[in-house]
Amino acid sequence: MAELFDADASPEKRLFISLITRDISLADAIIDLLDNSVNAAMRPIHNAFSSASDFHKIFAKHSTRPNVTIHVTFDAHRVIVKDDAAGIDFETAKHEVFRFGHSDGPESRDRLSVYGIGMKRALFKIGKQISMFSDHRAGGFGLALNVPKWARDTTLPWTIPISKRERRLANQSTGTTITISEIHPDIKDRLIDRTFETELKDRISKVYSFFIGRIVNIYVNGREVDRTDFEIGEDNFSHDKFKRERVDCSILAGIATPAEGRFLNAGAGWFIFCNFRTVLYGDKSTLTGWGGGDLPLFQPKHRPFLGIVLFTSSDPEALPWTTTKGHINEDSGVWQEAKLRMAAVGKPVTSFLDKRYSDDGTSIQPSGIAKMAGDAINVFDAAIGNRSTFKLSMSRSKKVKTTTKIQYEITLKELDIVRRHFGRSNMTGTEIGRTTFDYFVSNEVGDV
Amino acid sequence: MRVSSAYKVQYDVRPSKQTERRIILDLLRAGSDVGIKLNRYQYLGFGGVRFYDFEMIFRHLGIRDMTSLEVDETLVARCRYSKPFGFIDFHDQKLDFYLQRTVFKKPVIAWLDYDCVMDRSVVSDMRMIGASIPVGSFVFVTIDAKIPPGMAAMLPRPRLAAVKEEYGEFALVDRASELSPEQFPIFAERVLWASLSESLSKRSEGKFVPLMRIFYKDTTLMVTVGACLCDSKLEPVLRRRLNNDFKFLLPRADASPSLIPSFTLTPRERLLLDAAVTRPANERSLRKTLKRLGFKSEEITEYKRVFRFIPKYTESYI
Repeated sequence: MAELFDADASPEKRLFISLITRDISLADAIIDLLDNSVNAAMRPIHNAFSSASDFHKIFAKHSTRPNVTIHVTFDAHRVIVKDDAAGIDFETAKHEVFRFGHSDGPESRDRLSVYGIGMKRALFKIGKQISMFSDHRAGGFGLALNVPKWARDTTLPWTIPISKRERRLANQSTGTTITISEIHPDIKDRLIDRTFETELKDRISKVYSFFIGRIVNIYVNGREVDRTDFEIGEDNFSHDKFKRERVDCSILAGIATPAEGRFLNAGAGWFIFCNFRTVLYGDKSTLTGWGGGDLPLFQPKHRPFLGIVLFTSSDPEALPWTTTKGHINEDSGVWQEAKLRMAAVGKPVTSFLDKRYSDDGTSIQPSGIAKMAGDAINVFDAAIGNRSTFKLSMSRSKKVKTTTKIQYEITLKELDIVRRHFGRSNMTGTEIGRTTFDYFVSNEVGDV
Repeated sequence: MRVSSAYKVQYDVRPSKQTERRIILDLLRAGSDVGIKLNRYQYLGFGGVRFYDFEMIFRHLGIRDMTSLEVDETLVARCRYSKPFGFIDFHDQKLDFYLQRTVFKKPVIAWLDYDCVMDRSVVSDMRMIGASIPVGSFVFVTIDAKIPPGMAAMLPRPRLAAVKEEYGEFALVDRASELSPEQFPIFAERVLWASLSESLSKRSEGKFVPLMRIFYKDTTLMVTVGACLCDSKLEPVLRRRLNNDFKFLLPRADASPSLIPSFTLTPRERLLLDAAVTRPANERSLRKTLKRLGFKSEEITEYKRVFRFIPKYTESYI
């Protein structure tokens, strides 16, 4: 047997940093940092979060005042994310937090931490100088890292220097503060863009719609972020659920609650949650079946459509989200099965909406649709119920049409030729259309 | 407008159709043999005005929970009048409408015996039923395999474009030549099978078990596919049983399904064939007689494979 040699396959830090930061937006990077804080807020009760009904128990206590507050502040020079959760202890920081990838088994993981890469990626994405400290009852840690200097260091294995911080007493505050400075030029441009703060707040409101006001309060540059609530007609939604290996999935579709009397485009489509963190918001693309044959191409008449898919698991890696948690892993088996069932759950709703709006534009007013859909119920309440079917039908609205009109344009010359063919110079366009259609049916289609 | 084949086809004497029915019945019996309690199932079908499949399923499997759907409004009154059993639940609804409003409480045997040609709505029905049926359910689907006349009149390239638009991800075709009127049935079967197998195989609670993929022809070329969303524990046993007794119902690898041969035989020829294929191979005299009559050895082999399903008709008065 030929002698074997070890070829160099060691990682290169600069390439690694470039790879992991390339495909994430600034908003997603900040949200990755927020994930750490939300995780920290959930950690004391994380064993309670395994299934949809576990999450619902938390939801049922929605009047409970959240224990954790998260502040995101930023300007052209720095981004700061600060929370008052329980903090990160020194041992966890030393052995887990800065590893690229989890070393532990799935059961011990946080519910929103999938691959153990999000925070590092976010830090590298935003700036060159990172300061981080965390205060914990068991003793926290501190970090000051110059990223370019660290990237030049080729020593293996990779390490990041941290220091110990004192134990915090029961009457002392805990929590984690991350400060990123020496902001990358492109990121700086985004941060000073006036629209970015609005965009970020909107994203946070949607991504943490379950957690805000229940588990955490979040402030961006001192302004509190409101959560987005999802409500559906109580008596009229279709619901399916299944369990695939370690993932529970609950799928609902029905009529949304109109906002200020109108069904808005932004509030329509499919909303996908993984462990109650929003992954897709109001999707109307072929990814969720629209226009792909199972559901029609999304049109304004479908604005009352609200579809919710809740994936939950005690093993976040089993959930069908990508590493950025902002998209779906389309090849995932649980997603494939969910997509099949989403079509079956969503179709009664689109069929209903299609029939209520005719080709000539006649429509039922939004208030009429909302009234038919019944009282509003929060989707998280609806998701723990039994399987059900969408009950609204045309029998409760207007009569089903059995005819339609066909329109097409021809030249006057062609019209004249056909009139001469029939020997009837006054034949109307309607008569010619009917006659030619009948001719086609009789001669081409045959016995119908 | 009359669209149903009930107006066009004399159903009483369709030997290939009856062969197909008997095959489906035998497949279901195989399920019963491995422990599936079929008499507790719901049967869902398109009974038409004759309800042949309903008669067969009730009499042979004892199923009483039966649902028949009919979309031709001109036939509805006749269907209601002609349904042979009071326990048949009749709906003048399309399948997708029925499925949208149904949560199945028990496993289903669904035989969706369409008399239309293939189109995207059939694919959608497959996906709907694949998503809805409980574990343990059987689904059989029959369609007219010929190319839609309007599509046959199109030139090859526009036809390919039309098919790609109609079927989207299920447009399982690369070249326009695969959609010629002669080749279209193979395409139609491929799409039908893909839509059924794809939807059932995505279900995690049960195991997808292919049952049959066959063409048959009485007046027009039809195709039937069937599969089961089997309980995981029963799956190996059912697969073994199917492999032993029904291997001929599934094509090998990427091959197309075979055609149930349509035997046009005299009563004496039938008796001779029955004797020839059931006696030991070393009794060559019968086979010699068959060859003298012009039967090829492949035809005899085909006959041997399906002869127990081929009906025998007699005239009678009721």
